[in-house]
Amino acid sequence: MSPVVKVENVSRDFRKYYQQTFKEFLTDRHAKNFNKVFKALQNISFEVKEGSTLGLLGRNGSGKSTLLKIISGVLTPSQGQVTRPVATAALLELGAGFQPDMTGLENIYLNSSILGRSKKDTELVIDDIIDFSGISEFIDTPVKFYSSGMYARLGFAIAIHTDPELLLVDEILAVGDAPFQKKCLDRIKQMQNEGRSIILVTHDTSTVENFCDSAVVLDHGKLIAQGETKNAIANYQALP
Amino acid sequence: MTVQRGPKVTLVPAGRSTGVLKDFKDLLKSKELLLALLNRELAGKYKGSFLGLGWTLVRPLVMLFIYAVVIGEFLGAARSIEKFAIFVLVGLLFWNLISDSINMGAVSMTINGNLLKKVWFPREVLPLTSFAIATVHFLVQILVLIFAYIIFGSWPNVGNLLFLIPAVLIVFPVAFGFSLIFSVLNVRFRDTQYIVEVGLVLSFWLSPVVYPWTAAHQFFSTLPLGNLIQQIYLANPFGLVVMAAQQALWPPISTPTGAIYQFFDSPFSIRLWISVLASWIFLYIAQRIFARMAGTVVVDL
Repeated sequence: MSPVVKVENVSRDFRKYYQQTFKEFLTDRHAKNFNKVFKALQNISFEVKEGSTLGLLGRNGSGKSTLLKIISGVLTPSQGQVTRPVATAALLELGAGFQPDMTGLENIYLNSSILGRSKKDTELVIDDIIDFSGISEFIDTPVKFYSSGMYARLGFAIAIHTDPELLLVDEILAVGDAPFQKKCLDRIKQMQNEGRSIILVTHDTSTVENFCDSAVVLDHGKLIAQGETKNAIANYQALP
Repeated sequence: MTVQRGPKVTLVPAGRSTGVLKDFKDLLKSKELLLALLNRELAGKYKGSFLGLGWTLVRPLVMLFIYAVVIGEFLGAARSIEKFAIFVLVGLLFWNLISDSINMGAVSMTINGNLLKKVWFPREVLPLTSFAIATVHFLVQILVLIFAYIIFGSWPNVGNLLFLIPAVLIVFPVAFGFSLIFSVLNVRFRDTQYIVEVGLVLSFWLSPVVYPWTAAHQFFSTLPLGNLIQQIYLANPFGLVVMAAQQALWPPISTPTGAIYQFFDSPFSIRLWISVLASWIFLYIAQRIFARMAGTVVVDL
């Protein structure tokens, strides 16, 4: 089977020293720190098999979120390239792009179109989205009155109803209360059964054990282990 | 239910972009997003206000009143220019289209920072939405113009409406092109939006909106190097758009007294169409700059 995602020799640098104003840009160009770079990712390569779930393990600052952003397309790589399905949903920040003054319902349409869905596609699943979010009572209320939990629930419900081939998840399991968390986990299991591929970023090894078919371990921007989950977890736990 | 296998996309470093045609195709696929963002701006902006979209009419009406009274009557421009109010209104309509779309376009990336940092979509959609909003405002303001025609009981010559074709073909690439460049520059240097504001005020008075181009020419011809200065003045694409619009929509242009304010001899004037060509080349360059910068500036948001 061909891989659904191919990450080839991806590196990403950030400049350590960042100018803010035009004046600083002109005057500090030749300052000695100006061109110092921080290598957030170095030469990362791996593949995700179709229909499988890959765990991305690493401590804070290991580059997992940067990598996820590059796969989603929000950041461009400095070198290398990523091939992924067009139909990719990223659960990076739930409800990004919600318009506070618009109602929940209006925001479902807006947010779905930001995620690349047509109005027609959204109409087909609108009831499922409202149902899943569990806030049908407030769906005609402007989202500025929502609690942060309601906000995240609606965002999650929209993102998983975009019929993605690939799902990018960043520490998702912190959404809402326990019953809603269980609902999310069940839904992710269901998506796995439907043959969707998932990349799951976490630093929780039990999530990897329960959900993933394989794993990649990052440390200080380098890929230090990949393959079977048990082996990867052992490598991760051996990190200083 | 099982998932359908769809097309793939390859993400490459910024600057090694896949070309203007591919970017254009991506942009076309995002028309639903454009409509949704347009709706967000229009519905969201006027939500809870009584006049709603009607507020779009207030500013040009006030400006029109000021210019027609202060410049037309106090300074006496109305004595030499027939139907001065329509003259000013036509220029203002096109000027507002240009300046609104560039002013909004310049901040379109910075105010949507949280979106850009979290979701991927063709980034050109944001400055393009600014142009779309300005166009909606423009179309609403056309109603004022039609109202003015009814009041004055005079209508433009139908043949002259051909001037609108090159005018529109210049407005779009120039306004959208500047929005593209300024929107990414403003992420890097926040000074950009203020420079743009000042620059637009300057170009307003450097375009013959509230005075006829002949007035500027008479002054330039008294200066040393007057010819050169005139040519520089005429290189301003906004000025050309305003002059073409006046020839299309200001009724007295086809009367003997108004004819002295004709600048282009026909809608097929070479100067006009060279400007059209130059504007589209400019848009191409602007898109290349945008494509190169858009992928890297996200970290600055």
